[in-house]
Parts: sequence; structure tokens; C-alpha cells
Amino acid sequence: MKHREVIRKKTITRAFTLAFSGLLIMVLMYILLLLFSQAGYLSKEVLLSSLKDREVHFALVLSLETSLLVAAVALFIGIPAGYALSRFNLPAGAVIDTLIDLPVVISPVALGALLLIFFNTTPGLFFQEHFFQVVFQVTGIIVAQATIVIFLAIRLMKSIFDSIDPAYEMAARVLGESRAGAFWRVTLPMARHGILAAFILSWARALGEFGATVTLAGATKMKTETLPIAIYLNLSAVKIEKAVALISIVVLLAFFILLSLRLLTDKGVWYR
Amino acid sequence: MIQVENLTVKGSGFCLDDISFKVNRGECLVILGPSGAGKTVLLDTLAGLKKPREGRIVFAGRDVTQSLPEERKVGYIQQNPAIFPHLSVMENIVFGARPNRISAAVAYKRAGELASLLGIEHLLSRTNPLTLSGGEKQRVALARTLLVEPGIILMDEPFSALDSFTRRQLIFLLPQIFDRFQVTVIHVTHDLQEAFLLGDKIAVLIEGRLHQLGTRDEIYRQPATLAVARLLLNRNTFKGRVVILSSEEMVAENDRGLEFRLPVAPKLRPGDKIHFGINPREIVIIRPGRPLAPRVQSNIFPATVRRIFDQFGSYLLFLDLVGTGIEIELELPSFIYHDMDINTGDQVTVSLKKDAFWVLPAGEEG
Repeated sequence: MKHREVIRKKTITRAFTLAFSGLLIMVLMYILLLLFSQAGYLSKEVLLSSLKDREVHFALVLSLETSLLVAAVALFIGIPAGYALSRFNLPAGAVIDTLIDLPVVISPVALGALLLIFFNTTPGLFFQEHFFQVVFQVTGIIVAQATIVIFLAIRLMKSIFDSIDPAYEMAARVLGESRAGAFWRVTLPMARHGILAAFILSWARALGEFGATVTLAGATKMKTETLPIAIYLNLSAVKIEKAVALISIVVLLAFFILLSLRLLTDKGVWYR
Repeated sequence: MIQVENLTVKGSGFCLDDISFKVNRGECLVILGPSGAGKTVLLDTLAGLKKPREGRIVFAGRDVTQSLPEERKVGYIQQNPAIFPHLSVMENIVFGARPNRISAAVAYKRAGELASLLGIEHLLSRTNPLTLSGGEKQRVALARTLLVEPGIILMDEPFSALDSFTRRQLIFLLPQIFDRFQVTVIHVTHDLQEAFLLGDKIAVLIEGRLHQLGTRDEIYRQPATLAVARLLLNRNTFKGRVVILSSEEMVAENDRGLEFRLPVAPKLRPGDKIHFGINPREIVIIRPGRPLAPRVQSNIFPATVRRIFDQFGSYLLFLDLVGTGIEIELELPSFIYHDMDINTGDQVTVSLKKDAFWVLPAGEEG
């Protein structure tokens, strides 16, 4: 009787472990299956030739240029804005928080359409006339990506500053540093890993952006053709091999971005 | 010198109400209070991290009520010692040199001296301060604070996270250090022992109000309010009224009609409702067959020992005063306890020493 009870309990524990890890293994298999199913279209030759391909090259360079620029701008704004949001006692904090979440949450196509409509209203047209053209231009890619990524960066930086105990800043101030001095000498260096992680995440988000970009900048071959737009264009033109080559580039980029992120943040080997 | 006048601070979930006190140069004031009393709020306000709604703060004759924290020239050891994790131990200690315009050469020399004074010389080469223990962190924080030579140091329960050995070391080290640098100290704690070991004066803060400010002896013998009496572990408290009052004696009866002889409180009148009480350490067990010393000749009751607890160094006895329904608590040094050979159920005679009683008019507090 007692022996049977022990066996029953053991069986339940095993079933539980098996069911839960089984589901995990199934989704992992699923993603690997997705990746390996492309192999039929992918040979060394195709990959090499597409790397030399003018269009692939153009898309890769344009994507890297715009996304890196956008990520840099996003952090330049996101660090001070996130700090303000985290530390200053702002009125209507909940409303501000919600507004900042909005561009990241709403559908990118909707955001792109919003931008497109804005640049066709009087202030938008005035801006385009006196500063630079945006609609269906490379600058449109940057504006579209930046509209999402800046707000993402603010959100990320806020949570990073939230995680740093204000006691450190207070200690610096009582030792004679001004608010700005405490920020430069204490909070900013303490946030360095977080800032790098926020940069990588912002960059990855900009790199993968499609909906808003295609709506505002259009999908013009060799002009506003970022990696995701190139995949879309080639797939539409049934150039499967080229699309797969582009997908491989995107997947590899994403893989290394995410891996370096893991290593940077908590428990990662690059984290002190 | 620190002077605080009518300080009122309000915020969500905390408030300080009309706090006034003075600390002389070189003195240590301990602010004693239970958690949630507003002790940290008070220190934050003195350091300039919180703004008071009313009142004045004066440091060494300088009104700093509106000053920024960096202008106040105070040292503040917070509960979290906040050792900067991205700097080495040495860089932490000399952190304040730059804003205070202390040259690097002077700062490093002073850091070395402070480190040897605080016994942390061996830590100066540590690059990662996250490897420091709690006690080491407190010492580094202290060195970092002393480097900028503040005239005033505020300490917020600096020992609460330390083990008892490290705590003991620091408690005996601190007064020497502060004496040497002639700093005025406000030390906040909820620990009675710490308060009595360190405080030249003790201020009792309960629920945002300053209940009493006095010497150790005054706080121990004459608690100003019932809340202070309770905080000081005066668990033998009684409610009653004055029955007889003359210039030589005062007799009160408790709500069960038991009579106690109390020290004369001149402001009271017969019939007044009072609270009175006695510390468990002031109750003595009378050994049979010995002549009674004059100070234990009043308030003598037969009692039964109900429960006994060993609390390391002393014993706590719970006794029933026979036929009264009153339970009292008595604390005996261990050597006396063992000498007397007391067991649960024993009948003993106790004296609640008349002069050890404190008396408070009732109604001031619920």
C-alpha cells in the first residue's frame, strides 16, 4: 500500500516534468523546423552570390546605416528622458507613461499611416519644405523607425534607472556632488550595461521594422529597400532563393544580437 | 551644533510633527523609535533629501532649511551604505574630493590615514566593492564620509544589517572616531542597547512625534509618556488612581484595588487617574531570613513563579501576585538566578521598589 503510494507520487512528478518540458521541446523543434526548411533553397553558391548581389548588398547596408543611426538617436534622447521619467516627480505620470508606451504598442502600419497623414497636413508639409523631404524617401525610413524606437528606448532606460537605488545618487550628493554631477559620476556609469543592452534592443527593433517604414517610405527597389522590404519585394516577385538568402542574413543578425544581449545582462559572462 | 525648530514634514504615508531639538558640538544624539516612526524621514530632511513643510534647520549657526544636500556639509550614512559598485574601494573613499576641491594628493593621503584608523587598509586595493562584507561596506562608507570632513554626521541604523560581532566592534569604534574628528552626530536606531551605548542624549520618536528628549537616565527612569515607557520594555504597567498624597508619601490603587506606594508626584491630587509602572529589572525577590534594605521595604507581595526564560545573561521570570490576578515580569541576572535556585511553581516574596516606579497622569494618552 505504502509502496504503491510512493510509486504513484513519483509517476505524477515525472508526468508533470515530461508534459511541461515536452511542450518546450516541441516549440523549439518548431522553430528549428522553420529554419531548416529553408535549406532546400539555400546552397553555398546561392548564399555567396547573393552576398555579392547589388540589391542584397544595398538592402543590408541601408538597413545597418538607418538602424544604427536610429538606435544612437534613440539613446541620445532615451537616456535623459528615461531618467526624467524615473526620477523626477512628474505630474500626471500615468498619462505620460501611457503616451510613451503607445507608439511601441500600436500596429506599425497604423503608426506609419499616422506619419504619412501628418506629413501631408500643413505643419508636415511646412516641415518637409523647410527641412527635408520625408515621404517615400530614405529619411522616411529613419523617421518611421525612430518614431517607434525612441519611445522604446525611453521605456527601457526608465526601467534601467528605476532599478538603480536612488540611495547611490543621494550618497553622491551628500558628499558634495550636484544633481548633474551625481548623474555623470554615479548613475550613468552604473547604468552602462543597461545602456548597452538598450542600444542593442533598440537597434534590433529598428532593423526589423517593416510596417511603419513601408507605409511612410514606400517599397522602392534600390531606394528605400531595407532588409525586411527586400524580403517582401523578392517574395512578391517569386524570387524565393534571394528571399531565403535575405532571410538567412536577418536570422543570423538577430541571433548574434540576442546572444550578445544575453551575455551582457544579468548572469551573462560579460556582466560584472 | 545642530538646531532643529518646529520641523514639520508631510508626505504620502509618513509625517513628522513639530520636531524641535538641539545637539551640541561634538555630542551624539540617538534618535530611538520603532520602525515606521519617521526616523529616516527626519534624517533625509536634515540631509536635504526631503523638503520640510514648516520649521527651521540650523547647522553651526547657518540656516540650511532651503539648502541643497550638496551645500549642507553633512555626512550621511544611509541604511544602504551605497558603496558605488563601479568604483574601486579607494575610488569610493576619495569620491568626495573632487566636488570639495580637495587635491588628489591630499585625498589619497587622508584616505590612507582613515583606512588605517578604521582597520580597512587591506581593502584599499580591492577593485570590486561588491565583494565587501556588510561591516566592511559600513567602514568604507564611513571613511568616504570622513574624507570630506563634515562637521555633522547622520547615521541611519548603520548596524541593522550586521552580525552581532561586527556590530559590537563598530559600536565601540565609532565614539573614538567621532571624538577624534569632533563631529556632531545624530544616530538613528530602534535598538535600545545601541541607543544607550552611543547616545549622550536620547530622543524618542514615535509615530512622527518627539515624545521625549533626555539623558539615558531620564529616559530609563522617567519616561515622559506611556508610549516611551512601553518602548523601553516597561511591561509592568498599571492603571489606577491616587488614594493618599502627602509631601512624604503617595499611595495609589490599581483598577483591582491593590495598593502601591509610589514616589511623590507633586502635580497630582488625590483621586487623579494615573498610569504607573516599573521596569522588570527593578523588581527584586526577597531572600527569606535576611534583613530588608530600606529601599525594598515597600510594595511587598507574595508571588508564584509561572514561567522562566533564559535570555542569555539574564533570566526573565513571569510571576503571579498571589490573590490579585496580576502577572508581573521580573528580570534577574543569571548569577543571581542560579544562586537562588528558583523553579516554576515556587512561592516567593517580591518587592516592587517604590523609588523605581514612574508615574504619569492618565488621559494624556489612551
